[in-house]
Amino acid sequence: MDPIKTPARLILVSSSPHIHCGSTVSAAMRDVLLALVPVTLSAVWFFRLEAVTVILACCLSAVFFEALCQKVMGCAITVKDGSALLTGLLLALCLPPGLSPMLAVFGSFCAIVIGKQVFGGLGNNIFNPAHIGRAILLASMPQQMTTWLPPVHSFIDNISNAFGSINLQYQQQKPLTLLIQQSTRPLQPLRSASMPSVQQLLSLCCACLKACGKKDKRQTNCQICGRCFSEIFRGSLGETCVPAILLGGLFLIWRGHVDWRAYPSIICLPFSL
Amino acid sequence: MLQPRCKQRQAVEKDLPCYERVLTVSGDAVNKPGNYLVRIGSLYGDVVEKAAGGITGDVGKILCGGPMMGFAVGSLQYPVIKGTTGLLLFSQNSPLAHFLAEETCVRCGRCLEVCPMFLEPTVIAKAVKRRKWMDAAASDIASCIECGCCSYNCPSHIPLVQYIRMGKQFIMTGGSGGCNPLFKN
Repeated sequence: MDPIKTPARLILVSSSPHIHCGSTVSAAMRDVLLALVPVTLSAVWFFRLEAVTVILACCLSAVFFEALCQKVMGCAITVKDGSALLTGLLLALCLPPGLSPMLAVFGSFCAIVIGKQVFGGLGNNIFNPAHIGRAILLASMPQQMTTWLPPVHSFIDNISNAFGSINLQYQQQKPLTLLIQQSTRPLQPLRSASMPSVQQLLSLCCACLKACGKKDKRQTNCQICGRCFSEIFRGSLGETCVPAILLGGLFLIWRGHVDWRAYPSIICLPFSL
Repeated sequence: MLQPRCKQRQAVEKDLPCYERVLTVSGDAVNKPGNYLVRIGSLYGDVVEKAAGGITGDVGKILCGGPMMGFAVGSLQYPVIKGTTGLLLFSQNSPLAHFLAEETCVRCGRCLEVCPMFLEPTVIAKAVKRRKWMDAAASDIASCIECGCCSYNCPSHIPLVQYIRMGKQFIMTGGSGGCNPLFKN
């Protein structure tokens, strides 16, 4: 008997445009995951096992819950696009080190199922799923979510011995508390309810610079700002290493996923309110 | 579509109509891609055989015009008309012959960034999908020039231009889709 011949592929008659730039959602997710690699590595470096357990628990459970939820809902399983893995990693980097894996899994469940799938899956969610997971965890388990572990000391001592210039000190308090305690002049909020004029914003910037320029306070202000970059504060897994975060942000700007004007405008927002 | 100056001069000085035009025959499925002066009315098949040296292998896509705004046809039995600017033939292995499945819109905003008419292609396409013709008209569907920049950049491979074109046809025929039997309302 003759083997069944598969029919030759037909000529495709599709709508214009007939070419595509080649970008995919998976590629965008991959780029963001790459941008988060420095932060993840720094988290693992400073917190070792506590970081690894939280990150693995979040990522694996996020992928599992997305597959399970899509199967239950009868949708096509789209775990391949990497969005669940990204949500899991973002959630892990928002959590404090040493959080119990069960809580991390619960956070993943809230993030993926309640924060994303309930709204309709990728692209239909109103909120960032990772932060929904963190918000639910914070509201339900405030005690566990606000116990910050210190970084592993042996690493710190080795590094500060190796690089004498970088002052890798472990701070007891969060950087914002330090700044508030040691600030020279509290920033006056703009009283008017309307949009601040350019002149008002400029005068506010000048006031900040003057506060920086006061000779007796300049050193402490510069020191505080500088220490944000070189020291490791208590915080969640992703908060500890500022240069790693900056590196990820610059990578995303370079790849074109973020408009560079977004970052300065977000930073200037609290000054204008 | 625009004829070069030499053709205009020919039309004015020698009182000749436009009976031939330069056609770009290209793509990876033709043997000799190039620009050929062909008579209007020649069949595509004849142009490819006699001028461009024939087809190399299996043809997967035939485009009249350019890759962004041209239209695809199913065979080479069409004539060259005055407005035919190009004839592109692509093999089965070429990426143009592959149709990628549409995924959900991730609201990245790339289509808005590149639209030359400053429209919101994803909003219009979603309104057309939900058959909300008033919403589509309110989003200025009539201003779309169907250039294809939005679909070119969409990471979810949504055929935005196709949705917009369908929406225009539905709106022009009062929501019924005209006499096209494939449009079921």
